Amino acid sequence: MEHPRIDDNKIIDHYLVGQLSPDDEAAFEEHLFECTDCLEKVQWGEELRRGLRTVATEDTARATVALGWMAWLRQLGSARRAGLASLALLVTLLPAVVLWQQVELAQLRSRAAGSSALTEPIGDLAVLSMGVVRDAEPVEVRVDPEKAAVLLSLELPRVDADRYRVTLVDVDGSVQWRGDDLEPSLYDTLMVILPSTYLVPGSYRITIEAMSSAGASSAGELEFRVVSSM
Amino acid sequence: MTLDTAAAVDLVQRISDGDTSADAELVERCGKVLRFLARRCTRNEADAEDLYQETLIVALEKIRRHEVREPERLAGFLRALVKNLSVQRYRRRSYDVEKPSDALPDAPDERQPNALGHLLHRERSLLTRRLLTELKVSRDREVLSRFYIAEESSPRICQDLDIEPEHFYRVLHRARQRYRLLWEEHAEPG
Ligand SMILES: [Zn+2]
Repeated sequence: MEHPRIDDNKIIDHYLVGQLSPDDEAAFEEHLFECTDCLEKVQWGEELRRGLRTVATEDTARATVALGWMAWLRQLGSARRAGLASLALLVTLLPAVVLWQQVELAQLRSRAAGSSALTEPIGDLAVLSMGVVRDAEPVEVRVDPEKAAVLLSLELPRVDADRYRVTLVDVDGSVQWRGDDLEPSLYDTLMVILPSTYLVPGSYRITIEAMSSAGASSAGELEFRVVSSM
Repeated sequence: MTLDTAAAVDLVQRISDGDTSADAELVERCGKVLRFLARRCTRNEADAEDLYQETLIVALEKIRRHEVREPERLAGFLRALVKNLSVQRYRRRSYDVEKPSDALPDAPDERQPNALGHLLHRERSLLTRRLLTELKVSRDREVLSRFYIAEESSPRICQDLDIEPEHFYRVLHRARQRYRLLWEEHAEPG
């Protein structure tokens, strides 16, 4: 494989994510034996790819811990406990959830103005991505009550604090759930995992507050309506 | 030192003739690439090191036994060898897992990363976070995560984010360079 082709076709980038044909991959790997320059580039690219994956996995695990995974497990009634063994499997699925979430967020952003939400089941988890958009109409989201938990991924319009407080309020104004001390991920989102029993059909409001030494200040609000997907 | 065609032919000849200095030269010329390929084929640094060592041993044996029919294609031979050995190791491991547990009661679980693995893991995370923090434009972070983590195609990412391919590849290129610099600064503080 010759250099003009490697440069013109961005062979190194595509090699790193396994997007070359088997023939091109073989030819490029053989080229590495005679080209220190390409070898160095590909080594650093591979290292970066591994680093990004490490961070994505850690962020998900941290979100889970920060949100009091165990705390809400304890709150669940014994009737639901039988399903919790399978929920434990979720932990192994979490990196996949984050990957999926990134893709979904991108799709959300590429849509026209206004708030939008998407739900998608993964294993025992329903993932719900929402962007915080000012003056947006409430969106309708479908939550499968058979799913044990819902992962709310809240995209912040901007990140200007290290810690946030998220409050989920139902139509009567009573607080269903509150999470203090939530740390945004590197992708400017807050991740909240809730048992699906918290989101029975009805209208809800989520308020997000930025926390600082001066206290809490509003960082956004969004309204949505849950309908059963059954 | 790299491996061009002339060097390959010369190396195969000398190793076959029993010239031990040629063994060392093989490692010098091909070691880095073989290590890299071994790491691509395995899940952790410890497994990669084992695969790398095995590849070198088998390669030298095969060359000495004149099993390399096209010496000028030594690179292709070595590349195929590391891949084949990796598949064999994977099959062996699948078999080992199915064996009754009393077969090797005290055998260490080699799937656990060693201390070096842990260290690399921590530093990798630290430096990647630093790199991501330095990226002021969140779209650039999204380029990295969608390409390297979600493994989406470049045209799709460019279309979604409304960016030119030129910009897309520049983000990848710069991130790689910056990451390397961060490692180098980390390795030699001050
Ligand atoms: Zn090259």
